[in-house]
Amino acid sequence: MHITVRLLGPLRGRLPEGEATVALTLGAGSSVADALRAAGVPAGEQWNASIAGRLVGPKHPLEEGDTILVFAPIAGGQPGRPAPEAS
Amino acid sequence: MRGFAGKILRVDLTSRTIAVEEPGEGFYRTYLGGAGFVSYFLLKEIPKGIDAFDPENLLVFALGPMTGLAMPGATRNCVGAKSPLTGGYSKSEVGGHFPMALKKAGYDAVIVSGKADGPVYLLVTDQSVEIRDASALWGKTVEETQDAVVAEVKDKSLRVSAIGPAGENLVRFACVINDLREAAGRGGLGAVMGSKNLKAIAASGRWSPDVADPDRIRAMSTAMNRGFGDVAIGFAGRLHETGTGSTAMMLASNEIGNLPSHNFDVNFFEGTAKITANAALDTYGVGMDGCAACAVRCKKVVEIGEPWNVSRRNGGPEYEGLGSFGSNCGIDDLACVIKAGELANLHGLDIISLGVTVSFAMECFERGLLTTEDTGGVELRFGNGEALLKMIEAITRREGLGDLLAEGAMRAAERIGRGAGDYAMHVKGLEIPMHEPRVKQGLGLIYAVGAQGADHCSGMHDTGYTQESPGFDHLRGMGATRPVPADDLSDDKVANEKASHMWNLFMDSAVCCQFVPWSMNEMTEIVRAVTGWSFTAYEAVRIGERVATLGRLFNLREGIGSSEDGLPKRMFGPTRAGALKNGGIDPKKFRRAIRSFYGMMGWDEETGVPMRGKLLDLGIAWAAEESGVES
Repeated sequence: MHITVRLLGPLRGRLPEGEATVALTLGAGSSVADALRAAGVPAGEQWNASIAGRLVGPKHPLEEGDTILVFAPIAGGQPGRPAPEAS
Repeated sequence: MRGFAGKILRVDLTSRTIAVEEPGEGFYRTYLGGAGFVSYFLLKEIPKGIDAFDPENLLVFALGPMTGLAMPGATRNCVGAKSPLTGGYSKSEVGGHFPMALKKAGYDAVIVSGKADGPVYLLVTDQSVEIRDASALWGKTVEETQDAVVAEVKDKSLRVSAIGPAGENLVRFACVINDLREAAGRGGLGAVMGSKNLKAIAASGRWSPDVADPDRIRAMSTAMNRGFGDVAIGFAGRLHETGTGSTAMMLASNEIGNLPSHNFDVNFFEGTAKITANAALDTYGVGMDGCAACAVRCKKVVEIGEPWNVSRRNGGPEYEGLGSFGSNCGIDDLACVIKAGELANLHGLDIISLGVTVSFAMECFERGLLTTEDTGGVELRFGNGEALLKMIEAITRREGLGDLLAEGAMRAAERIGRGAGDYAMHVKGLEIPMHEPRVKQGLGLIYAVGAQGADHCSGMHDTGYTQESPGFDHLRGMGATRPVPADDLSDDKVANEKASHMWNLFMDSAVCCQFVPWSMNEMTEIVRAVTGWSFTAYEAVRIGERVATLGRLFNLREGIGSSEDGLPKRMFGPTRAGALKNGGIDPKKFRRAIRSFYGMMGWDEETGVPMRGKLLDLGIAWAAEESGVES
């Protein structure tokens, strides 16, 4: 199936200069985690993902044509690491 | 005693008396500083049932063990009082340079009581304390006030914490501003200061605290300043590259419904890209700045020429202002949004409450609950930037509709009636920040149960803790269980939020910035290295529990009980567009989460009243008698 991964913010640094999206072809039954792995987001990197505006977890099953928006955690006053994004 | 001055300055403005109190090391170890001090003094000394503007209300400026040291994140103070917005417990933390100056004057806190018979300011140095005439400063902006005080005292090292005209005019969400641009924003503490005729506190000095292990403090500070970019993923990069509240985060927030727009009704804003932090820096930015001794330069500095005339001195935009004046008021004119933020700082208004109160009025106008007769001819519609700026001036001076809106969204809605309360986005009277509780449902729980109302710096932001990560592992060290989705309200989420809430309240007692990513172990090590105590993380969590429990008892004494622990009706339904158009919090799950939180805190699961055994455990049995609350 065909999946698009769109990276926002510092995660974009994982992609070649100037690129923000990765087009992937994945097997049936692939998950969000599979897509991010294929897009080059390293294991252990913190991220949030949403599909059609809905936050989804790593095990979320993908469907043909999904676009995954991937971004670092959105936070305000935040306990310890990771550090916050907004206040 | 190390790390502290050991002295608390008492100033009674009615009798114009100045005294110094030395509470002893046991007091410091129990309450630590900042929010811990505020919680203690508010419950212990403010008479039950007084109006927030009664001279018997206290205004507490409290520092912590780190304050005054050249450490990243250490230059902050907590301000506390009975809130004129909520009628309950209120505190707010603020940075800048003033907190360091106050510590160097040789005090751990300043407690102001009474009311001066005319405008005054306090001059606190390591040589003397004076109550000075401020008649010439009354009516002046924060900027004019600071400049005048520094010129009068002729001391360039002087640092000033001041109110603007909004505080003088008892606008219920007026704030206290340090160093022109840092706000102790929430709860209307600037109005309490105004009610005491206290225009400013100015501080300077050269005293410095004895520190148990200065080499360790120096090494930790150096390591954090040099290496904070490595400790969290791209932390430095995110702040420096994009500014706090980055473009990516605002765009992503908009995508998932987390960015409030149109008074939390729509939550998808077409103009988001025009009002991001990057847009602000790219268009009007002249640099980044920070607080004293901190390498995390998270403050955007902007300058705009004619016709806006935004000075680089008065603070650049941060996420809350970009959201509250921007998307939340439907305004995508970046210069206008930045100007609104500057006016808020000059007049001394809380950016969050101001934006949300104006957005409330805009919704009332669009629904016909307010008309041009009420607004003095202003078309107070979403997207009208000029109307926003007019309202800021009117609120500051309590003119026309501004007099009503100066009461805050909750009271304004009560006066307007006809269902206007459905559009007032507040908890206990404190307007909701720019973090949507329908997305961050655990944070919404903390908005509901927190003593001061909707405070985004008091809880875990759910979206950052949905997976195993170093950040979650940090929380696990304080009692979090396992990562769960952002919209989860299970007992795991409650445990995670409780852990985070206690940590944040400890940090507010150490008065350390949450933007500097000290770990739990590092923070406790810092307290040990400063004080020489065998301080543990267990003690840190218990300090957090004391702050939460004393705040709760203060509220219960004032008649603010479990029935006030909730969210606006709007949060239990969908938004009109965006990712939450099929969303909304499940009210049954939310009530259950509240009960679970009470239980985890050692509070009665039905009433939220702290149990006697919990008070004994925390060593605050005195608080039951003081509050008159039976458990």
